[in-house]
Amino acid sequence: MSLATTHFEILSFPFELITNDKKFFTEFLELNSALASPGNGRLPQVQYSVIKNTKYFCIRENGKFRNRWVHRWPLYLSVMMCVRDSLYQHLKEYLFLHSGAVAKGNNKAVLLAGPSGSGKSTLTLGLLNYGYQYLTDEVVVISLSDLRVLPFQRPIYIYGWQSTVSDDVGKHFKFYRFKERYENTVQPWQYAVPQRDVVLPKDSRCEVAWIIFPRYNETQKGSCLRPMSKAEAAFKLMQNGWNMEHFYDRGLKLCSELVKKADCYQLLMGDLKEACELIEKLTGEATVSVEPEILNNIWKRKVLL
Amino acid sequence: MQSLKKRSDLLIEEIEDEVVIYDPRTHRVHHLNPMASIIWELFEVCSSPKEIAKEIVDVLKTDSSTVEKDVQETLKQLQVKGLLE
Repeated sequence: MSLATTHFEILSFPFELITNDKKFFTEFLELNSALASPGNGRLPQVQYSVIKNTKYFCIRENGKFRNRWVHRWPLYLSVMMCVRDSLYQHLKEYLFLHSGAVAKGNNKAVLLAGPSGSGKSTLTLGLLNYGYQYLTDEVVVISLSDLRVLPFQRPIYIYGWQSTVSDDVGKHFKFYRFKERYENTVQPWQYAVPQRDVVLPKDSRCEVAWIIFPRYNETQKGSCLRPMSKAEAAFKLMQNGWNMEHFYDRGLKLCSELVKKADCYQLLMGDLKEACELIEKLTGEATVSVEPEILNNIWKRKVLL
Repeated sequence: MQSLKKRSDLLIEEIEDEVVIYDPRTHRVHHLNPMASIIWELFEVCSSPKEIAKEIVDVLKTDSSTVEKDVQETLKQLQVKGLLE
């Protein structure tokens, strides 16, 4: 059995991946090209093995069984969820929030925080057409030393995209489509990997200037932005922490410090174009004109959160 | 008589006149709206719900029966959430 091995680092935390499936190996590296850095010669702290036997792909973490899949495509998401869990567990110098983030000029970040289904990922994709740069989707990394956001440019997991995405969105991401379908779904899934033009250098640090809590409502006409009290924003950030259990009392202080430095809003979102324009107006002057149909192309499709 | 004693182990952050409370026992977070935050703060100086209501009525010059009802309701909710001793 021929094994492929690679060492990689995320947020300077070293991992090792071992697999006997070459296709998975190649695609995993491609999918995480913006997120992971090559190993830096340091001893891996966590080893993942993905071994294909006659029936399943088995995922093990440091030799301990984590999961198994019949198909290859869920492996990418599954391994990355294990990697995220490892980061939450080991990296105590960062606060991880359930939020997307984009950056605009002068390294100022817009956090798009909220639970699954609130429209964070769709909004993140939409804002890239307005000259924003991709910081992250789903996992915002805040450095405890200066409360700044670090890039965590993971691929966005998308389902239900039946046709090619519009060129304007596509030029910022490379899309990987997988033919395999999960047992309970009827639609193929895709992975959107951010490309160089929207990827900030890994050592970038962005100040949190705006915190927006989107709430998608398909029955709502238009979109509107409402100021939110900083106390409510801190409360909601606490509810959307991935690793808040590490901080306890300090978590509340950290969220409180974050909201004090930022302008906080709730975004009631029924129309993506309008939502993007409201954020653009809030964060600075218009730079790019976007055709409504480009945004509608994004809006009609679902983004897995 | 209802207890007006805040639990001493709670972590409290006052942000722009509103209060956010972290409960280390349950790891839950609570956000008090502006009126509930005022009532929470008055626990320090008042010994009964009536006294809290009187303080608020004196400052806001508003209907005392409504305020008393709001105070009672807030106290009930704080008790349900386990924030009082």
